[in-house]
Amino acid sequence: MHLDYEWLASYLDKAPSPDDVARLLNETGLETEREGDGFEIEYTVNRPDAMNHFGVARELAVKAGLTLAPPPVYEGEIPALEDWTVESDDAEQCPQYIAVKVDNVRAVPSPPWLKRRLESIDQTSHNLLVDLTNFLLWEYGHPSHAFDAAKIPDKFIGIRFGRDGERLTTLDGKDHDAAGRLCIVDRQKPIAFAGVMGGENSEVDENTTELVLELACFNPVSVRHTGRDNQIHSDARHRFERGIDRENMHTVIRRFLYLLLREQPEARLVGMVDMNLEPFRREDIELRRVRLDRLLGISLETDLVTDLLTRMDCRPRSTESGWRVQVPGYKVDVTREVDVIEEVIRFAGFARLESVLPPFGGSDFAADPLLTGEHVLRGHLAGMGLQETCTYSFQAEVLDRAFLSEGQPIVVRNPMSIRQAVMRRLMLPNMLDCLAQNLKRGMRDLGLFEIGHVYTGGTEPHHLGLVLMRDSERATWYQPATEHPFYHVKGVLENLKARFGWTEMAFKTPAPAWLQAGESLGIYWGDRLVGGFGTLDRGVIDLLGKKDAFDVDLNIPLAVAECDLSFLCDAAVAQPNVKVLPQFPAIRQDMAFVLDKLHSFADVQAHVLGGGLEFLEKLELFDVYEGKALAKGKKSLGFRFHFRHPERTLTGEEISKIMDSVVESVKEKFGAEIRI
Amino acid sequence: MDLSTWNLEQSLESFRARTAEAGSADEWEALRIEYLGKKNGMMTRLLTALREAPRELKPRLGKDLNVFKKEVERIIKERKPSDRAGKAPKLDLSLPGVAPDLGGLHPVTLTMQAMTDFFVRMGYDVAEGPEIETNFYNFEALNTPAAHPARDDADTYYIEDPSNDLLLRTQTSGTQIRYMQTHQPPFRMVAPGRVFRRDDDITHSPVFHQMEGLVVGEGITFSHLKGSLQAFAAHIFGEGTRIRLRPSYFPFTEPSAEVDVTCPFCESGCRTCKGTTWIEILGCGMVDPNVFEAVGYDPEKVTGFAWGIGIERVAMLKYSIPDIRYLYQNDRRFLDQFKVG
Repeated sequence: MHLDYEWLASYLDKAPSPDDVARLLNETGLETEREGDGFEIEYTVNRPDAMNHFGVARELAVKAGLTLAPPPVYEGEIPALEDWTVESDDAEQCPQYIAVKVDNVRAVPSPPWLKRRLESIDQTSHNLLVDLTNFLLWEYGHPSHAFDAAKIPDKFIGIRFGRDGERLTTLDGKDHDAAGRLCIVDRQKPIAFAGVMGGENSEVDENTTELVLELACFNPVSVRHTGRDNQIHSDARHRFERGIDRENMHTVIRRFLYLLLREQPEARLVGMVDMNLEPFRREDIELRRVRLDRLLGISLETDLVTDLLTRMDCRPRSTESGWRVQVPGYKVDVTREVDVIEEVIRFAGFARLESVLPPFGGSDFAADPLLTGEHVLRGHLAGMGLQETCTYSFQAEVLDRAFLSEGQPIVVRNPMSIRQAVMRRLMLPNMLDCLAQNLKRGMRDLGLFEIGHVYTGGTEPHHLGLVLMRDSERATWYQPATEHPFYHVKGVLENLKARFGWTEMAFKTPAPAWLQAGESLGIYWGDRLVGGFGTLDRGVIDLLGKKDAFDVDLNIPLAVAECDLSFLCDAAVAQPNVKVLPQFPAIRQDMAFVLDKLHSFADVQAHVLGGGLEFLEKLELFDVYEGKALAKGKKSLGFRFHFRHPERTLTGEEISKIMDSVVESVKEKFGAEIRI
Repeated sequence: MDLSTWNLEQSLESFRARTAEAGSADEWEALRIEYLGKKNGMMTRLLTALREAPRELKPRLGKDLNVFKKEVERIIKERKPSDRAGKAPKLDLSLPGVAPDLGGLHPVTLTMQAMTDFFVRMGYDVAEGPEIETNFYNFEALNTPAAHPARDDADTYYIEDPSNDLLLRTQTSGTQIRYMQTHQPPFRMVAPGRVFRRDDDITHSPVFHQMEGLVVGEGITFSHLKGSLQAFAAHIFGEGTRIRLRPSYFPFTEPSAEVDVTCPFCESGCRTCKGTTWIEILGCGMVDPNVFEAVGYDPEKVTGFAWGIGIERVAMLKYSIPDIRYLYQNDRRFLDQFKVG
């Protein structure tokens, strides 16, 4: 909001320089920057008192100890307006409504001083009568409205909610529904939206000779609803919403009369109706010294506090416990002791506060297992060479549909774009979007992970997502990039499982439907399916490749994983429990079986382990071979057996006997042969 | 070979002279064979001669011959170029090592962890809450009723639901309410998390992160707030960073303040601080008694302070990130820059 320096200065005996004004205002909490011949001020919602020139001058006067010079007002008698009726019975909607009638007025162009004032704050000049109401708003912060009295039939003004079917064309020429909006009405129809904007049907124009000036107080909530429902932003609305000063309404009326009669001495003041359904009064507030000190952590000198309270019109009286104050009407937001404390420290300055650490108090020292687990997990995943991403929580609906055909995503009611339409139910779609964007920019060979909330209604489980794209051209000097990224993702998950001791985790079929059957596994926690990993389902890849999705072909060496991490809450934190070290050496035996490709590694492993081999400590897979050296349809699996006896060294004979039995059994079961 | 004229010093002298002529591995090998060759090397011949030497000279000669042999062996071993010279070495020491890829954390996480770590060291508990919130936790319990104009500032995303009560939280303060409902003072806690506002430009992202702090107990004061934030600012932005409080307004604190830190980039004004040497960094205040009443605490008994800070803003300052959208594009060329440090 722009305010003019010279205008502000006109209310002060000795105005500080513009730079000092800006500094002082910033110190009192009005965010002020110098701009042109004035200031641009940003207001927090609790400061309607300063949304005008006099209010800002008042603020400066308190802060800098200056004397405030209130502007001259009409000092004469104001008779009662006998033949006009102002009617409302709803004190909650309109606690006070003042109507002043002045006849023999002319809506002539405004005098230069008035035009200059309005121009200084980028306001357009219309005519004297309208300009004066606008001037008052920018001088005192009071919205007022000028009606052409001749356009109000029956000398009746009412305040009520608009009825079904009623409409109103506002001063800006727009037609609005008036039903349910708080309106100023004549006997038949709305003539203004209360506290928001006047109607065309009662507007002051060049033919106006009789004027009714409205100065009222309306319910801020109703004003807000009218403005919001009809999308009207007006200076009046913004002030009523924040609250207006009930105490000086008559001053504002007299100020208007003073200015009008000065410019048009021939104008005739007819009279005033003051319908005051709820006279304004404020309770005294007790400001306790002990409370002041306890909140601030310092003890301000009594004289300083008393002086500040006096300067801010709070009329302090000393009491046994501190002060009793009467807060002025313009401090709309100051209604409690704590509010008064804020006003005191606001003017005393935060620089007076000490800078000390709080005493050590009890706290909940048990760390949240989910947050702690995720913290360690993130570090571990980065240590495994993966890069963390940070993606939005919402996404285009087409991405949700591509992955999940069942259930409904949570819908955002007011998204800013279709990419914010629904809340994610999986981490992967937005992570794959990242991958797609990187591919478009020519980056390949990406390993990404992210941990975040997904939104399934009610709970918000934390999910881990993994995306691993292997560039087919990637080759290190020591190892060609031949392995499918599936094995890499699986390795990462196996590493996590081992690192965190997730003994209840298993990888098996079936996998979630968005993964390609035969190229993926489900992640299970006990019996519960908590995620999956592998290759994306071909149908998903097709949908993601479309123009309305990523427009990128994901038929590339790609594997993904997604897993609900809720189990971190109840997974026991792995605790090492040391076993005594063995005293006798282990004996190692390698054995490669050539068998039909149909048999999986796990089949053979399970068979060998199922045999309950004596002294077998560990069984490893050390080699997988398929190729020219073998018959078509065959593969070789190389196993490494580790045997150990707890109390002595095993003999070669013992080992040979055991190995013979293994070989026999595998030959028999799988038709395997020994590869030499 | 006549040992009667043999002399250790001379022999060594002459061997050294010969080594000065040897250059290539082949020349050295020839020298080695000449001196140490098993069949007909000088050493072999000397030892054969020793057997026939007069008995009384044997001990001294034996000792000297031994010294001579050791010295010749040593010099050849030290100076003879390796057999592999000129051939491929066993290791190419300049090859890159065999190591996993260098992974990394996102700058939002890095910043959040740095901040969380600091407060955990100060004895704060860490709590998290839901991101889809009710009106009550996001606004009402925080002293912001439905018709409050402060709600206009929030630019809230709402969720399509029959109860008309759900929204994407605009601040992490709701977590503080939940925490207070389940804990009794004294306590100190921080609530880091993701928040949402309908805003999208180079300094605003529709999704961003905040951290809120809350300390409640008997005798907690505004001066404690100031001290805590001063310590925090020095930790995040470097020793010597000072803070400045300016009066402000938040519905859930009273008194309220905005906090500026001295510009980490300059001492006399720069583009980042718009020439002011101060940068606005967070909002804070003393917990409003209405908030305590909403959670059943007695505001006459306990006081507390709260603050809230935008993680992205800190990250942008810390790492000189010019556009908040960089953080959410996840461009690998951007993220790769956070693998150090």
